[in-house]
Amino acid sequence: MDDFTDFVRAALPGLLRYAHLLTGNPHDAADLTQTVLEKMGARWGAVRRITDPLAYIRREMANCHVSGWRRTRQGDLLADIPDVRVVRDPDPFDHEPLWTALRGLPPQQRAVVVLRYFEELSEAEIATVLGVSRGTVKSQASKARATLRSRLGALVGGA
Amino acid sequence: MDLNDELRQLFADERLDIPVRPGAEATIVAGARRIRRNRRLAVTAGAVAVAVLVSGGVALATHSTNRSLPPAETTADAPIVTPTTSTATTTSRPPATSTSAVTSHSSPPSVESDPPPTGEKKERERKDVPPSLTDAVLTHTGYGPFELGMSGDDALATDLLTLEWGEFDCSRYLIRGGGTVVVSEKFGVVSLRVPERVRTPEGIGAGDTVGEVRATYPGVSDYRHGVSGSATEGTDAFYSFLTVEEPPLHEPVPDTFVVAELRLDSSKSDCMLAM
Repeated sequence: MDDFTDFVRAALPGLLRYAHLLTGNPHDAADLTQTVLEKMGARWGAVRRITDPLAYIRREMANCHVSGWRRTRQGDLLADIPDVRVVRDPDPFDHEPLWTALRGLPPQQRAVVVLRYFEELSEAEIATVLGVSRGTVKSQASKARATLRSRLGALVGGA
Repeated sequence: MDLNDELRQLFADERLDIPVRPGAEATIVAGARRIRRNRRLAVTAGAVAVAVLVSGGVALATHSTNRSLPPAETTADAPIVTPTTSTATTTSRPPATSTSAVTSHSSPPSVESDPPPTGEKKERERKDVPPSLTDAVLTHTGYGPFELGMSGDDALATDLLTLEWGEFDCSRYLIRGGGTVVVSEKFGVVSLRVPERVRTPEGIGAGDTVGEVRATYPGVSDYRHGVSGSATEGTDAFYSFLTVEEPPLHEPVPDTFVVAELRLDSSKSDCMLAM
């Protein structure tokens, strides 16, 4: 597992940031990152042979996020360890209008936005990552932009 | 600026970075091993999911909990009890591989830190304190009958321990009356976390401010969730005074922060997950 340790050490800051964008808050970001990395590590022998393991892991994180991971996790937290989070640190972006608007998007729309504007993937690439059609990516991106624009109102110009 | 540019600018903002907790990679590697082992043992899918989800993420980022703490410097730092060379404690942190990656006292195999005990739990602990620990303090060598470096067999022979968690060559035990002991197969007792009522011989413990800790032990150095320092010269022991609050990144721990947890750890440990 030595090379997995090295891989994690190098990749963790970037993956946490990426997860932060996907999930909208640092706590869920940490949860998502650890959940996916542990799964990857459990089959590292196969994952390491992938041409670009980091891209693969990012895809897994996007899919994990979209597939309802967050809802499941919260349920388990409430059921099994109800008082884990005694202290929750405020997100430094709580008052950033665009960030707030992004957090209100459904997981898939949010993932599409992150993959498009952070990962700089094309519609086709996003479709592959999320396992949906290009049409779905296009419609989700359109809905996301419309929602963001309406929520931001006069603060942000048209896209 | 149009929305596309706004989004790119937002996503490039460095404030969206999340600080990585020291030792986080060790936590993930251990979690991966745990998943693999669970698969091998054909544990039910539900149990695996709980194991992963309960341990999820919470030990990665320094913002998320309040208990992760590296030891004081393992080399040239001064002992905090005899701070004759206290200025040396401002040296760099030890490598994560020699530190406690997480502190966990919840159900196994969680790597989440435990919250402060509830009132009911504290009350139960008070009533159940064994005589040998009633007036015990956390010295630079240990707590009551428990000493850093003592063998697991000797620790168990006290009849005060209940196994809480065990994995690979490390086990964590609950001490009757409160607190935990972490035992390494190789190094023996490597970590002692004491309940709130227990203090150092100098009277420092939970409820004191960081300012009071510094006044008593000038050799302590900052960590994000408190302060720590070598317990005595020439040993591997270090005290940790952990706070609930956490200062902003790169800012010193304020004197006003309150100590929530007191620990004595050995820097010679291979039980990073359990401490």
